[in-house]
Amino acid sequence: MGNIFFFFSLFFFYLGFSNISVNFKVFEFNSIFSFVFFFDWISFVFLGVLMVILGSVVYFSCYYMGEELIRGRGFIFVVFSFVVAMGFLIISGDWISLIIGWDWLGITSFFLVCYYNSDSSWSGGLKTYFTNRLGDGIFLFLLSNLFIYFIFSNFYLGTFYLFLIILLSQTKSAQLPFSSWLPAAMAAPTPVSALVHSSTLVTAGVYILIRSGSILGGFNWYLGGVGLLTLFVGSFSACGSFDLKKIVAFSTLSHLGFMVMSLSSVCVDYSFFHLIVHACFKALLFISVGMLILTNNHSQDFRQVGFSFNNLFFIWVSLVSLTSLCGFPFFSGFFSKDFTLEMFFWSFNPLFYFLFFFSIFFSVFYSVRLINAIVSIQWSNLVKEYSIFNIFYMIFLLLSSVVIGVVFSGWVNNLQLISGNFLFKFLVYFFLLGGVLFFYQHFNGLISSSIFFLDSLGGGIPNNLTNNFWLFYNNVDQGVLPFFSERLSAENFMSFSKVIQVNLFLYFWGFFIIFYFF
Amino acid sequence: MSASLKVLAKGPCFSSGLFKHKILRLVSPTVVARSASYWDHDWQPGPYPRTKEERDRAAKRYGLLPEDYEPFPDDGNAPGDYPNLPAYSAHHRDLFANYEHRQLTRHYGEPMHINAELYRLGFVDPNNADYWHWRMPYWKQLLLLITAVASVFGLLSIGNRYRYFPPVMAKQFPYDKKGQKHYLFEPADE
Repeated sequence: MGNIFFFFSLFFFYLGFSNISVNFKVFEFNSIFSFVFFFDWISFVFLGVLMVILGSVVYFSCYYMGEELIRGRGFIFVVFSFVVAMGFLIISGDWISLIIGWDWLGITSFFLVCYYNSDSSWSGGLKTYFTNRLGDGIFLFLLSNLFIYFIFSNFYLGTFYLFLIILLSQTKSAQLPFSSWLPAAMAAPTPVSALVHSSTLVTAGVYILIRSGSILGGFNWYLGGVGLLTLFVGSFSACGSFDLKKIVAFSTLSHLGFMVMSLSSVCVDYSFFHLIVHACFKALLFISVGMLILTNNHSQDFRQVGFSFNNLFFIWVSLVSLTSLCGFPFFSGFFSKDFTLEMFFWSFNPLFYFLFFFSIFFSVFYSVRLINAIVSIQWSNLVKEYSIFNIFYMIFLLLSSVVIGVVFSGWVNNLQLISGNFLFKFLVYFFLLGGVLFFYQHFNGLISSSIFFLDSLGGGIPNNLTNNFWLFYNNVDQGVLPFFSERLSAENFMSFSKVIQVNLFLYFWGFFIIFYFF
Repeated sequence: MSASLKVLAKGPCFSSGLFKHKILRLVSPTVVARSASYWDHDWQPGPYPRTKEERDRAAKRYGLLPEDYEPFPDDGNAPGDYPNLPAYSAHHRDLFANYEHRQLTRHYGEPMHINAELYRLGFVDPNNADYWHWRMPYWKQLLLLITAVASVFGLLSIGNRYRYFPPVMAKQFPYDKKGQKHYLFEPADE
């Protein structure tokens, strides 16, 4: 069933090879409102990758939650709706088509996260949707002022509007002030996370910044700082998490920070390069983590998982995706990460390099931690019933996470080769090695998994929002409820409602005030 | 549907089914009645314990020490000899220990609270008040967040004044620029 998506992807990649640029105006009203599709090599390549990941996720979801699809709960419908929304956003060339795709993405992602009607799903979905809604409020304000301009023009929009565009992308792409929703959205089913939280929803914000890359000049300092912070916080928090999917969520967060940071450099195409490469290995990592969760009877506790050595293929898949994630030499992660790093070699800012290299260090740390869990002998479980039809898509993603770096480095327009000192170029690999070695030391209490308290400050929506006291629903993939979650108590009902009020106020004031006064 | 037919109807779902099914249900007697849940008479609590021997027997039955066993107050509403345990939720125990029933955070044979299905994971937590004082106050969290972000941005801006520029050659242009003769990309003269 999912084969047709792989054929679509081939078609899109073929179109992407041809360096075309088509501006397709769907309709125009009063010569002010126009609805434009823009077909570029970036659009086609992104659509191709999206189709590959969609095909893999369709097959994976048939294996992982096949009975849900047969029961007809509308899972596949919502996933397709999400993908159409993402396609809309990718090919949009104007603000109006963009906001349709943007809002549509927010709504369908809310339904996807809330698919299992458990408390953590509802609270995760609400956190996701409130943060996205804040961005939508900003978007509406922008739309009311900027509808006459194409999104990809070189027209400088002014500092204020540019800052709002950057803020908008921060809410969607989970940059630092708004990154509490991404770990909470891991209450979604694992195939949904592989599609949504690896490559599509979270990269929508980065995508619009890439598209408007020519006008981002004045905010390099802000993008670099925010990206660097998110990069560091994400990789640091992943080292302290004990829930498999949260580790992958934090790793996605850190890579998104990396993409935004690379936008602050000279060449914006590297951000897109990393977007594509990250989509491939992160989807693969989510799928292998999903297999791991399956073997553990849907428990996501990272201390009780492991593949048996009879499943060497799954071990291999996890290892390759993790090494590509670290930026190990000559895997695809290396090409995007190191080429971006070289763009920052023209001038050195001390703290920048300090945080960047420590983020690489931490990313290696959590990767080695995951590998240590995956090949543990104590908790080894066997995946028994699978055939080539269940795993062939993993071979596609595996090949792409190894090969796509080499292929794309020839595709990126402004590839520059930088030569420098031995120390500058090889410092990264010292940190890679150091991360591996550091793992085998023991430091208790050094690392925590709360992202500067954002998960309790910015997302303090309690987990008990439903009244389903008699809901005897087997909470599949409920995962590990975080220590900070606020529990409903019979005595504390008043404080519970106060907490709701405060959080709703904090999230909606932006939307309502902006929308109301402008 | 006339009143007499409604009286003769058996079963709760008379309005469902084709007309012939409704007629069949009218004339056929109820042969088998099943319940959706399962219950065993062994699970019923015994009578309220009056003597010490009854208390010890009840404590042993529920897996408690005799000095820990305490039945509900005898006001006529007590559920027999079921123990009145202090409210504890599934979250009150270590979530990650290797339980025999992992979803219930319980080992086999441990005493179950009378409201245990209400206090399971993802449901009501009566021990919520215990956790609140372990958290850092919100103002402190906000202060730490703002301090962290502002210090990173501040240090980055300070670092911008002391940037290190690695030595590079001057840029070469393929034309003659202001008197400096660079590589002109002319074909080699024979």
